[in-house]
Amino acid sequence: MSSGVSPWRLALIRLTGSGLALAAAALLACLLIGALGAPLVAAVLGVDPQAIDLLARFQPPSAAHPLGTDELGRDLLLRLLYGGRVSLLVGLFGALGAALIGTLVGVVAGYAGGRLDAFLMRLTDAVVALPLLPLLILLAALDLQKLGLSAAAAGAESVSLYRIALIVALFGWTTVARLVRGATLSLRERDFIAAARVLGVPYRRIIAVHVLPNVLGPVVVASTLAVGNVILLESVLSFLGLGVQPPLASWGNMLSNAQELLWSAPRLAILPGLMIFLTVIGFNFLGDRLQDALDPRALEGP
Amino acid sequence: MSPMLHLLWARLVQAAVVLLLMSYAVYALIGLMPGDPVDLMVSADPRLSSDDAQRLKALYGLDRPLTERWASWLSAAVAGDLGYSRLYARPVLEVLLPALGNTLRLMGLALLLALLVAFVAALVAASRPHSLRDFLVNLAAFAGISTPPFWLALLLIAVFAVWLGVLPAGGSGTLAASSGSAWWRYALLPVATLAFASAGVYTRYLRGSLLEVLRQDYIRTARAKGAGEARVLVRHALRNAAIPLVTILGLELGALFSGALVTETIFAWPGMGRLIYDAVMGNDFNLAMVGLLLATAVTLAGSLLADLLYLWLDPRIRYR
Repeated sequence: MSSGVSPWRLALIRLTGSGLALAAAALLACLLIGALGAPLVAAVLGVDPQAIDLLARFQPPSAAHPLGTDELGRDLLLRLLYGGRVSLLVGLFGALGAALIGTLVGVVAGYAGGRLDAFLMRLTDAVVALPLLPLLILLAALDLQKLGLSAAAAGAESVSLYRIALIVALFGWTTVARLVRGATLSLRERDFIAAARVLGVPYRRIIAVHVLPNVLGPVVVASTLAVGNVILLESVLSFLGLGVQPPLASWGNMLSNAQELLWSAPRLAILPGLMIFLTVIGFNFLGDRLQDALDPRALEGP
Repeated sequence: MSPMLHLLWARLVQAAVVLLLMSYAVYALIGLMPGDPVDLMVSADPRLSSDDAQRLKALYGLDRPLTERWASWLSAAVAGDLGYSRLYARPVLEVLLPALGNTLRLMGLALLLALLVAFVAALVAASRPHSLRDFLVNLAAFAGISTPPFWLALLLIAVFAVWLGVLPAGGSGTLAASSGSAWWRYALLPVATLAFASAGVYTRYLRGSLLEVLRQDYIRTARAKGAGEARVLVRHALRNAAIPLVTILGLELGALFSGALVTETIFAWPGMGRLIYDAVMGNDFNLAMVGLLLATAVTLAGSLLADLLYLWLDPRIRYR
């Protein structure tokens, strides 16, 4: 391996050499384009995604409604695309939040060591051991007005979206924290960090300049995998009626009524779930390949 | 055996601290849920005036500060009084314990099924790494961890209960049991749903662990002695590769409980997850509180058990 290639470039070369990674990336790109282009599709079809038309319930696919309509006569294709916006947004924000908390906890634990490290790792263990979903359900059911939010702010449409991202981030940081702590621990003993310390570089600067860039690999891998998990959790909560609130479409809440629709309109019960499945498996594949690509031990190349 | 006792003691103390902190956090959070007990009484009885409501709040101590209320809840709980369930009008433990039994049965069966699938799949994959069958097993494992459990449940119901009509779509078979018909028919779909995701996690982990073990010297020795490939894989490799899986089992118990909640809700399985969900949705504060703590205690006990099992299985740590 030539020494002039940076680890990130090397990872990119390896990634593009993996068919699975490329397939996952292409799949995710399609989903992203679909989600971003949802208003465009709505304009082309001339259909309002929120418009309820009780005379046009359960329509089969047609020119006006490429995938037919749902139980309230809304266009299914548009609902799927708009649901994708919500799921991807929650997934990305949730994973980003989890990555921030996890990196902070991991770097502090790994660099400080000693009692603080022991405490933070016990805390991580405890959070991992908790039964996550019942807790998330409780948090999602809280009355925001009792937390001091005004009735208007608590009832705003997008609040349910950010609240889910925040809740999931509060519990999803443990994997990132563990990986970052491990990487920081081994970095701390390296000569260049010791040299910086001896030179009197303040620890904040050591962490910012020398530690953080070197733990970015594990953070990126864990965050990519976390996006899939967050989307899965969001869909479960929305399915249970506690996540993203209607009329805002999310793939999870589109399935809330699916149990009754299995017989009359299986399409409505299958497609949103398929979208969740494809998105989550895309992120999982990408994260997994990224992990291999960024692993410095696997030097034999793709 | 002394390190084992030491670990047991340390972990018990840690679990107690986590439970105590959880009880405070959950108590505080439940206070933030919509509505409050007195308002619920008032809305149920139009004759109560706002003065009555104030008097009731003072009577039940609801006007006191949070920490004070939590302390009195805790002392009552320690004395064995965990309160009544609002939805079921019975002491919460009377409601929760049978449900806990159902949940543990569901989780136990799912765990067994997931392990069985994972062992077979991992052996199939690791016996020929980077082959087509390895790729297919990997793909299936990824599908397992990426499938929304409630969607899988819906698909299974659609296929087996609606289209084929061979299995019930929900329930636990309490009626079927009394009439002598097989209860396992009710367990089949929920157990399969719950096992699916776990099987994916365990397969991926076990495959990696197997490939690592297969590189060890004692595997080469076994092969050199002329042991057959099946014997090498199962007797020499799998037994050692399975030990680290115990740690994952302990860590995954929380996830398994989360999965059980979804599964129980969809299949109307009378377990604890569904009970907690109903309690949160139905403003049953006592039931939600004790249910959450019980669920936490169960997962903590499970991970402690896994740690002890690990020590027992790996003598290198035990006699250090």
